[in-house]
Amino acid sequence: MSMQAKQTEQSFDLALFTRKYGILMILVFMIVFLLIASPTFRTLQNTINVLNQISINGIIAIGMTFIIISGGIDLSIGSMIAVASVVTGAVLAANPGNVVFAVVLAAVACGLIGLFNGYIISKFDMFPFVVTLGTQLIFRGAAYVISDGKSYVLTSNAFKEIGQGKLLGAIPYSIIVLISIAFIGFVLLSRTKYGQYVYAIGGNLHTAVASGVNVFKIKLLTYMMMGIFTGIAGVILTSRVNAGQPSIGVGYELDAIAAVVIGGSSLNGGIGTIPGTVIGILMIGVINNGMNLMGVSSFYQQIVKGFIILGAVILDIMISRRKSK
Amino acid sequence: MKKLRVGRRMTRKLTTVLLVLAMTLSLLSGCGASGDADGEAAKDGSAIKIGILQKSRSDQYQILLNAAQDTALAELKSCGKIADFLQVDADTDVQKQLNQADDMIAMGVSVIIMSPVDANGCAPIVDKCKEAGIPIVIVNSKTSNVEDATAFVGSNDVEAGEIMGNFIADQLGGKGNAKGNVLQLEGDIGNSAQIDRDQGLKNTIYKEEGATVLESLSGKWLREEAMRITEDWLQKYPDISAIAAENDNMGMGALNAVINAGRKDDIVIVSVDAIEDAKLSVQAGELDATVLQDANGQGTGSVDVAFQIASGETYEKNTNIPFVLITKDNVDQYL
Repeated sequence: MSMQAKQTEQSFDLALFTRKYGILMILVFMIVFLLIASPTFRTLQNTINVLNQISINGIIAIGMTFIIISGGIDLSIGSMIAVASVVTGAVLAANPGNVVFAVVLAAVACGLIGLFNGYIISKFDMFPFVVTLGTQLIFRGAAYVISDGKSYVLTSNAFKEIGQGKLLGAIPYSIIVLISIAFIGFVLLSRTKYGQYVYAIGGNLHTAVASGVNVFKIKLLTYMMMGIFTGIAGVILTSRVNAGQPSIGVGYELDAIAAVVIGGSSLNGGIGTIPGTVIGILMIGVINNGMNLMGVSSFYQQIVKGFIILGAVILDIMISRRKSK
Repeated sequence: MKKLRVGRRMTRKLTTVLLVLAMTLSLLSGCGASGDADGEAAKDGSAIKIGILQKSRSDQYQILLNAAQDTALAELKSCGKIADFLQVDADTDVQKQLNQADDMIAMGVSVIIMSPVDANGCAPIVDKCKEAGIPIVIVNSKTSNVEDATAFVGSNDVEAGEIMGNFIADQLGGKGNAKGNVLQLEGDIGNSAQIDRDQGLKNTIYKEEGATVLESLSGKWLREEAMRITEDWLQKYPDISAIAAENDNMGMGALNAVINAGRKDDIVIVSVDAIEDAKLSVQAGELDATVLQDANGQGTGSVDVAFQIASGETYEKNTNIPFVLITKDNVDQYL
């Protein structure tokens, strides 16, 4: 971390630039390959399909970008999704008409959960990895308690529209939500004081404290925002599968972290951008969709995905090293 | 260590108290409609303590199984036929189930009923019970050494796969004449239910001359994963006649994708488990069929067999609880 802080402003930006471009090139290469290899991939319908599929991971990854840039991590995402899912399910099971209330309650619940994470992490100055490793058990357990382990059957057609409906019958609402959240994230991170502070506490915590940044408040806000975004993603996922399930969302944090890291954010904190994360999100979506279209068997899909993630990051590091020399 | 010993002594004391209590109760109440439960049998029965090793309290199917066992056990207990029972939940963790089995053997229960978490991982429990001389009844899914267990109560998952395959064949023109493109959503690869249900499909729809199974991918038993895969398939294949999902959760995911693509009229979807929303969907005319694994039958059956073993009656070593095909025609009686 101190190495990065010593770097001059200019080389810092250059490294960031090449990081972003290296990955973008790989994504373009993958898309071109699929355009040639798979006739289905070329269709507009499939493009919408991919965008729809990435929206949930995308929304989470935007929040995760803030967390990772601030030097943290959040492993409780999957469990938060479960909480959002059963909260929505419980409200709608009691009264299918309460769609707005269900959605707001789920987002608020997850926002509070995020606040709880942030409070523990910053109040006791604990490693976010350890804290969220613990809290993910608490939240998953809570989801089981709320639902008594059962799955809520949802019958509300209005609610179904959120994750399965389309604007003008063509553009899924979930894509619109993702684009909006990505835009909000982009503005917050690169155009506001709050964004600068997030970089500051992730880049060099001591300097940030010395220059008067309210670290406690910034971390609290960041984890709360993560929670709210996850709550929204959880609602969309619940609507998409049309069921409130306590077992839903296992491992979702990993795809989000992968997208953020592929997008050039450093797990040491202080480095990362929203456009980079968006590229990471697209890449994971294209990998998943491409392998299904190419008929890759279940056994190999995971191996291929793992190697592509590793390869992308290694190549990216090599490019940025060579250029910054 | 000390704590443990005290704990054991306590349980023993507790058992004695319960035993006396149960004996008194059995003398008082004229319970037991079955003819052979009078006099001597009842006296023996009142010392019986049944231990249940549950696989999970959050899995939809296991919840039903646990509930059925609970009802059967509570009835036996209230009739004084057994002294007591206890249920512990392994939370689908092999290690946890192994430890819980050790505890139960140490407590000295009369008979253990286990819903195994893993076919291989839980096999040592069967051996340990044998060593300790405690009979064990395995319920729902098998361990790799199930033949060493005292008894097995369950359903044959191959049969579930065959019912699915035959249903699809019927829908696509009848056995021997079925035509069309079929897709298969598999469970977690290597899981015994996945292996057997896959085998059932291989025995049936795979053998149809006119039908082609285009692809099979693992949806990992998950609804969202199955939905994603199906969405990709719908893009890739313009002509799909049927989708077979190895559980309802995946079947419902596939159904969502197919409905959204506006292709439900062309595609037959069938899955296994008969969970609540699958049955509702069948009733609503969306999901074509689900295959019921009879949780009630398995739960009650396992307790019956365990009780027969403990009270020295004759029992079946293998009890097969058959699967039932649920379609729009008979769904109402299962809701």
